[in-house]
Amino acid sequence: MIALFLALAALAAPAESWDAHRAQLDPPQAPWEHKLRESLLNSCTNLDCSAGWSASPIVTRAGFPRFAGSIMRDPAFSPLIAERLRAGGEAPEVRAALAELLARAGADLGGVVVGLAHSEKDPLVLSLLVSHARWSGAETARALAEIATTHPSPMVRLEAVTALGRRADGTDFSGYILKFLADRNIEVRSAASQAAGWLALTPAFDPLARLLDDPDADVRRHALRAMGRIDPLRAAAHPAVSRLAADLDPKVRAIADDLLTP
Amino acid sequence: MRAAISLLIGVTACGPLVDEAVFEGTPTEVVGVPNFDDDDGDGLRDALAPAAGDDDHAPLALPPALTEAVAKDCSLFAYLYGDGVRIYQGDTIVLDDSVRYWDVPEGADPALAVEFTDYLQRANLQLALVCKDELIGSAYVRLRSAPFQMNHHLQAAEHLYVMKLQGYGFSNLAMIEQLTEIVGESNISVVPSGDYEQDVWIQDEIEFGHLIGKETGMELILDSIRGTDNVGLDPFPEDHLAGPGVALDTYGAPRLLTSLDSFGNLEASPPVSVNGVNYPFGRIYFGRGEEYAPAAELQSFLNRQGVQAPVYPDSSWLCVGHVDEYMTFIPDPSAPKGFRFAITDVNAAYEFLEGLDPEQGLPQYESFHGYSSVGDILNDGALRALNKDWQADQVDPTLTMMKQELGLDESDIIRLPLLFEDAGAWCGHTAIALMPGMVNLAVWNPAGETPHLLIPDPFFREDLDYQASDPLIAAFDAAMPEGVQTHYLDDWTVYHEGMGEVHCGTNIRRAPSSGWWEDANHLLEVSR
Repeated sequence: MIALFLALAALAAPAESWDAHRAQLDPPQAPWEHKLRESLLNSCTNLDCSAGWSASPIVTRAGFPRFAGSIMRDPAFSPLIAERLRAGGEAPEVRAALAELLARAGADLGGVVVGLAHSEKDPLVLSLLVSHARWSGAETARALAEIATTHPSPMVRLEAVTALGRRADGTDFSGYILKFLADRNIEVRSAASQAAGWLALTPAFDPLARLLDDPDADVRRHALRAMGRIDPLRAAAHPAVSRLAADLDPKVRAIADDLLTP
Repeated sequence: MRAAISLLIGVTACGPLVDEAVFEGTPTEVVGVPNFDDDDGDGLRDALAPAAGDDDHAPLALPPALTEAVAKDCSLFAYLYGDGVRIYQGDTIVLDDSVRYWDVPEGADPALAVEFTDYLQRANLQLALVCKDELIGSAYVRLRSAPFQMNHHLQAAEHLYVMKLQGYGFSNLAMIEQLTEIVGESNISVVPSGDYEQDVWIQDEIEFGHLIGKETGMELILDSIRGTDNVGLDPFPEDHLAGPGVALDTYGAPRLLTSLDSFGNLEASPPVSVNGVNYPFGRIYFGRGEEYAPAAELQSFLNRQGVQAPVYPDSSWLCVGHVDEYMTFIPDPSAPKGFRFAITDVNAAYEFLEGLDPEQGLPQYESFHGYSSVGDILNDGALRALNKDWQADQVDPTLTMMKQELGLDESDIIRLPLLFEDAGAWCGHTAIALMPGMVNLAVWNPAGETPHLLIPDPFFREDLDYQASDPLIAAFDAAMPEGVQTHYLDDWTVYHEGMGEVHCGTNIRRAPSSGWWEDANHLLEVSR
C-alpha cells in the first residue's frame, strides 16, 4: 500500500538524447564502469538504443512507474538501463523503475549491479538493485547482501533477506538470514522469519522460537509459521506455542491452533 | 410555528364556505432528487444557484379546487417543516430553509415544484385551509429526496469507457479492438490517455450510480480523490461525463490519499437478503485495512445513504489494495439469487497446476514473472508458502465475512484459481496477481442480452496466439455459469504489467435500478 499519486510529469524521458549522451560519455573510472561501457557500446550496435534511452514508464495502478512490455526487458537492453541509472539525472521514481526493470531483465552484468548499488544513495532504488540477489549469480548475491547487511535503511535490509529467501540455493546464505532475524526493525525480522520458513532453515529454529515473544504480532505470526515449516512436530512441542494459542492476535492464534492440532 | 397552528385551530364559526373535499387529490408524498447537476453550465451545482423551471425539480400538483378556494374568503396556509427543500410557484421560491410560511395568494397556480438541495432530505409540507377563521381541513405532503444508489452488476450495461495507450513496447490497442467488437462501436468511448497524462485507470477515477425520484432522476458519479489538481484522469468526468442529468460528487481530502481511495476498491453486490433483511440494491463493499482506510468522509457518506449498507473486507494485503483484485459478482440468470460470487482461491490454483504437465512452457510468464514453465511455478516453495499464507490470513476470512454480511451460501460461490506474487519493495512486499487476475473482469450485460464477461487473457499456454489451447481458459470457462458468454482480452502489457486488469481499465455506465422509496424504506428507517 503506497500513497497515491505520482507527479506524472516527472515520468518524462531523459532531457538529453541518446546521441548527445553517447557523444559526451565520461571516461570510465571503476572496473565495473569499464565493463558497463564495453557492454553498452556492444549492445547498441544491434539495438535501437535511442528508443530505449528515451522510453518512459507507464503508471501502475498502485501509482508508481514501471517499464512495461517485453522489449525493454530484453537482457540485451540491460547495459542501456544500467547506463541510465549510472548517468543519474532522472526522477527518483523513474530511477527506481529502471532498477526494477534491470532486475526483471535478469541479465547478470557481473559487477555492474553491485557497482551501481555501492554508489546508490536512494534507499528505494538501492532496494530494487538489491532485489537482483533473488536471481543473480551467487557472487553478486553475496556482494549485494553485504551492502544491505550494514545499510541503515530497513527497506534495503528487508529486500536483501527476501531476495535471499527466494533463491534456490538460499540455504547457502543462511548466515545472513540468521543475522536479519535479530534485526532491530520489525519488518526485517518478519521478512527474515518468512525467508527462514521458505528455506526450512533448521539452524533458524531456536532464533525463531525467541521471536515468539516479539512484541509485534506480525513477527510472532511469521516466526510461528516458519517453525512449523522447518519442523512441525518440534514446533508443536515448543512450550511457547501453547501460549500463543491464546495470543491476542487472531491470526497468531489460528496458526498455533493448527500446529497443536494433530 | 406552534403559535401559527394554534391560530389555525382557533375556530370561530360563520359556517364553512367550502368543505374538506377540496383537499382530495393532494399528493401524500413527493419523492425527488437532490439537484446536483449543472444544467446551465455555470460551474455550480444547480441546487446552489436556485432557478425556477429546472427539470430536476419534482412536480407537486395541488388540487385546483384547493387553490381556487382562496378566492372564496378562504386562506390557504402552507408551512414547511424540515430543511434542504425549496418550493417554487412559477418563478418564485415561496418556501425554503428561511421562509417557512406561505400565505397562498388568490389565483395562485396549483402547480408547484420542489427542489431538494441534498441527499436524503426529509421535510413535510402542511397545507391548511382556513375560511372565516374556521379550519376547514389540512393535509401533509411528505417531501423526500433520494439517496445515492451505486450501480451493481445486475443493472443493464449501457456504455463502456476505456483509455487508449501506446508506447515503446506496450499498447492496449488489441484490447480496445476486442472490446469494440463485443460492445459495438456506438457503445464504447475510447479516450486518448495522452489527454490525461497516460493515466489509464478509469475504473479507479469514478463510480457510476443514480439518484432516483418518482418523476425525476439523474446519474450521480462519485469522482474519487485519487487525481486532483488536474493530475491524471482528474478532469475526465468534467470533460466527458458531467452535464444536464449527470452530476458529480467528491468526498475526502486528497492530502491523505492512499490507493484504497481508488474506486476499483469500491463495488456493490447485487440484491441480497441477509438474516431476513432485504437489500434490494445490494450492499457496497469497500476494502480497508488495520492501518489504512479509504477517506473517512467517503465512508461516512456511503454509510449515511442507508440503502446499500457498506461492508469492509480487508484489501490492505494487496499492493494496489482494491477489492476488485480478488472478488466480483457474475450475473447468472439460472442461479436462485441471479448471480454468483467469484473469489480467488490459491488451493484451486495449485490443484489446477498440479493437473498440468510440469513441462508445459509459459513463454508469456518468462520475461515478466521469471517462470518459464508450469513446473517452475510448482517448484517455487516460497511462492507456494506466500500464497498459502495469503489464502489463510486474508482470502478465507474475507470469504467468511462476505458470506455472513451478504447472506451467501456455498452454492453461490465460485472459487477461481489465482496465484499472487510478492509485489516487491515499492509496495512493502504485499501481494499482486501473478497469473492475470481473471476475477478482475468487467460485466457487459445490455438489457435483454446474454451477459458478456470481459476477462483478462491469462496467456497460460505455449502458443500465445491460440486461446483454445489454454488450460486456464478452459478451467475458467468450466467454472462459469452456462448463461454467460466469456471473452478473453489481451490486457497484458498495459494493465497486467501495470498491476491491474480489464476491470481496472474500463468503466461501465448502467441503467438505473428501481425506486428506493418502495423497496428500501426499511433500510432508511434503520439508518436514521
